[in-house]
Amino acid sequence: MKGSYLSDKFFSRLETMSLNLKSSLSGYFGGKHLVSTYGQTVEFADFREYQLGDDIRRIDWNLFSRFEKYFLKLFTDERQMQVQIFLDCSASMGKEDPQKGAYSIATAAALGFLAVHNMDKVSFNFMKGETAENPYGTIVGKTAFFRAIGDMEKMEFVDDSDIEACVKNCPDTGRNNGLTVIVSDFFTESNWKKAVDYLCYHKRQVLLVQVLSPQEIDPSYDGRVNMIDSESVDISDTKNMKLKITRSMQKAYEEALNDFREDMKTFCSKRGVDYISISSDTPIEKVLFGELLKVGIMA
Amino acid sequence: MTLLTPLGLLGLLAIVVLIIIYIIRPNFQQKMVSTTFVWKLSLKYRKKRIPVSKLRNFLLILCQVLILASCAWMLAKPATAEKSSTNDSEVIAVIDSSASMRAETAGETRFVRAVDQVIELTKSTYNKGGVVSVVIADAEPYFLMQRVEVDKKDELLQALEALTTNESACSYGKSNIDSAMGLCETLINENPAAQVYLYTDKTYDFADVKVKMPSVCLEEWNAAILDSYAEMQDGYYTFYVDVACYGANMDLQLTVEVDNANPEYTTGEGRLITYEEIVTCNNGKTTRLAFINSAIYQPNEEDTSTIYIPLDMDECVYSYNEVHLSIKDAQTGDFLEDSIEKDNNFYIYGGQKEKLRVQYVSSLPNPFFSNILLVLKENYSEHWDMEVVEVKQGQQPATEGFDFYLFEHTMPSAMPNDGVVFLVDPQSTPMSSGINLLGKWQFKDPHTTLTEEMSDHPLMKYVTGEDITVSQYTRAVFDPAYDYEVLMSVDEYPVLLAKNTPKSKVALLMFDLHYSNLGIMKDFPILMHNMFQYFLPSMVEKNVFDIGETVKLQARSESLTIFSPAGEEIKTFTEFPGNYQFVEPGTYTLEQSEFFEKTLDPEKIYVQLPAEECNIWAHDETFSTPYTKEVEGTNYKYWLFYIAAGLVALLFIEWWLQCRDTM
Repeated sequence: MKGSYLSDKFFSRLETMSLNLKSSLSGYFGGKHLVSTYGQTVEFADFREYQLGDDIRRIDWNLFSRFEKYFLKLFTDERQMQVQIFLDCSASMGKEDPQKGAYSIATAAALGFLAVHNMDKVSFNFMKGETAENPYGTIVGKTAFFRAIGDMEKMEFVDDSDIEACVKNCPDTGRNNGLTVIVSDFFTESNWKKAVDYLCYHKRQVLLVQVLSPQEIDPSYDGRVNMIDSESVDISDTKNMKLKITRSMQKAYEEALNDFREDMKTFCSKRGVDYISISSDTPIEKVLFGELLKVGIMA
Repeated sequence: MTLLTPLGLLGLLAIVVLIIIYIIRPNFQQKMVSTTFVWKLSLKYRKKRIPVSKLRNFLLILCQVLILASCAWMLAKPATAEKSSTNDSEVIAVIDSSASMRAETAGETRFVRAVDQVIELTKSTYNKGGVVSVVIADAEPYFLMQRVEVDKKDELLQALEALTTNESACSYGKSNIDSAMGLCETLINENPAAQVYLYTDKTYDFADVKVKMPSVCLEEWNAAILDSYAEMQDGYYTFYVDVACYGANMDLQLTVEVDNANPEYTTGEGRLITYEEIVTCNNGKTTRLAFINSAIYQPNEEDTSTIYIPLDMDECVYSYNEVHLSIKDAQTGDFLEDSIEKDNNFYIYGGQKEKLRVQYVSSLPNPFFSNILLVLKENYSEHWDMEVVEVKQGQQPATEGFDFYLFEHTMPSAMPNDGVVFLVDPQSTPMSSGINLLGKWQFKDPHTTLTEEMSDHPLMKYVTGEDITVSQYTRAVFDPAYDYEVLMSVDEYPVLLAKNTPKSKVALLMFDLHYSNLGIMKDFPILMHNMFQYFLPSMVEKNVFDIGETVKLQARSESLTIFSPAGEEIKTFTEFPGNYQFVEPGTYTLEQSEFFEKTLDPEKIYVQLPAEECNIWAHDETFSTPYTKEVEGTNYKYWLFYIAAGLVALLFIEWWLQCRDTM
């Protein structure tokens, strides 16, 4: 794979960062994410008047001596979240442009590292066809994480993928217990919007990362071109197309791409879904410490 | 239309190649892309257009085919043949009218002989129904008559007859045969079949055989004094004489008569000194003789080109009025009866120097002026006998009797009116000078430079105002009625002025040399030299000129008149410098009008035949041919320009279509 990003230096720079997940999530016991419910930590949160059934050992007797009323002392709660990362493994993600594939893997790996660094559980789902493969299972801890990403670099991007089917067919998408990240170019005929709606229905926090190559953002070729789609089966595949690329055609492409990204952005903002669109020639540090900080998913 | 290079049409094969390229060219280049998803979306955004792409493609191919066809067409050199009107009976007669054509035998000159032959040619041509043109080839050739047809035959014959009787029809100068052939060429361009006849006495090594050259020479011979001049050597003149004889070998007796030689200072009367020498002239070779003072003569065996005749001291000449040189037959002692007599005598003038009186007056005598006047006296010693009078302290300066007055600091009460007046650092105002002094002005900066106001004025020649600094000068205003020209200024006040009218020649320098660097600059001697040349110019630069040579004439007074050898007034000049070309040999007299009410001595000059024209059997290499057109009777009008213009238009259209194609 061309231009691997996954190195010790790369991960060491991420150690100061953490994922900033919504406090409304419930999650699991034992994590480091503060949630809106009260729990058993030592960090004081609030007082509440005693109600029948409460444990009398939690009554604050100092307050009783002052007000002659019973108050309970409440403490914050910290939960462990489940981060699921769906990586599009279709041919469009890296067959023709290995740099784009490496960039996508690096983005997914970075988010995964942030999760395990904050004692969250993480799982990588590779979307191939209509199924999302999860070869590493649920990863907890850095040792398991680094073992997993050693294999990720050997990933091959072939065929096409159906984001909707992959997400819906995932055996454990979770419910109100963490973040789901979809890394793709979203240049697919499948209805990825339904997949997002499905995740929102399950109260998952969702982040869409659209990775595009510079050639896709600003195609430099012109003239009469027979474009062979990397996901096409053969030369007669309908995905291939013959086109005379002129200046007006290039302008139309630019408008189409902008509208497509704008549509994604509108769709995501309506559902409270985070969305970033990045170019594979943008330094990955700029994405992690710029774009993700900007949308608030990192802190 | 004719194709001059039909093989150029092979270039049309390029059209076939173009079509093959279109056939085998892949219509679409294959390109692997990651996805065509966005391209499919973009189809909706593409602007709807009129489907003209097929028409555009067709036009593009058509343009390219036409461009290749145009190139092939140009290679084939298309032209339209235009038949020119040819007339085999047309003749062009060129008559050489140079001085050598005046060589005569039995009273008939070569020129007259040539004209007679042209008359015969004219008559025979008209008998054949032809056309005749006649060119007279002197220094500036001209058509006597051009393309004269038979109906004007008499007119042409009369003009030719007039040439035989007109003494001035044949010049005393040179001829320009090349230029005459240029005139013939204009006629030959219209009729390439025209026949050119050149009537000349010269022979050519390489001449166009199409030009016929009938002979006009008989057994002429000519002895001549080709050139002569006097050169001052150690205070005495050495006379150089070039003698030659063409067409015969003979001994010549050269006589040199020096008139009014070495005049007495008191009476001004000199004596007549005569030198005689026998010269053997063979094979047209030029012999140079030098009559030289024996005291300075150093025999040199290697110098065989000159025959030196040492003169005793009592025969030596340091001043003369006129030198007359003549040649005679050495055997008989008679005057020569050769073919050209005008070159058997020669005159040298300018052997007496003009006296020039200069007065220098200063309250604080300045070594700069004293020295520069001495330098100029030495420098002009060949032209002027300059007398410099320096007025001592307590002496009264003269205001008349001098040619050049230099007043420094001390000014005369009235301006002298019989010479050039140069006022330096005036401390008072002479009467009738038009000057009003305002007072001294001193600069804080001692290096203030002068500004040139009239850099093209003769006085400012090679003088650079920016190099001259001044620390103090006299401010003055000048009456506009006096017409002073401001040459240099400082602070917008004039510091060098000049006025040169026939009645007033004045120069003004408004600062003391002690308050300027001018005295030590090269500009100072140059300025003084310019002043003498500008106010007191010589009428001519030398005293011997060739026929046809342009003579530059200068004068100090209002007018200058030229008198012919016969004493007749030829022309009067009032604007100088004047230019004049003499057309006849002989001694001419130049007289100026009165200069400050003084009569100036007239100047004599001798105008000689050009030395090469004395050689009546001259030989030359070649002349330019008038037959420049090779194609007989046919002219072609070429179409290349029009095809090239069309090609450019097609290239532009093709470029425009290509641009539209990528839009």
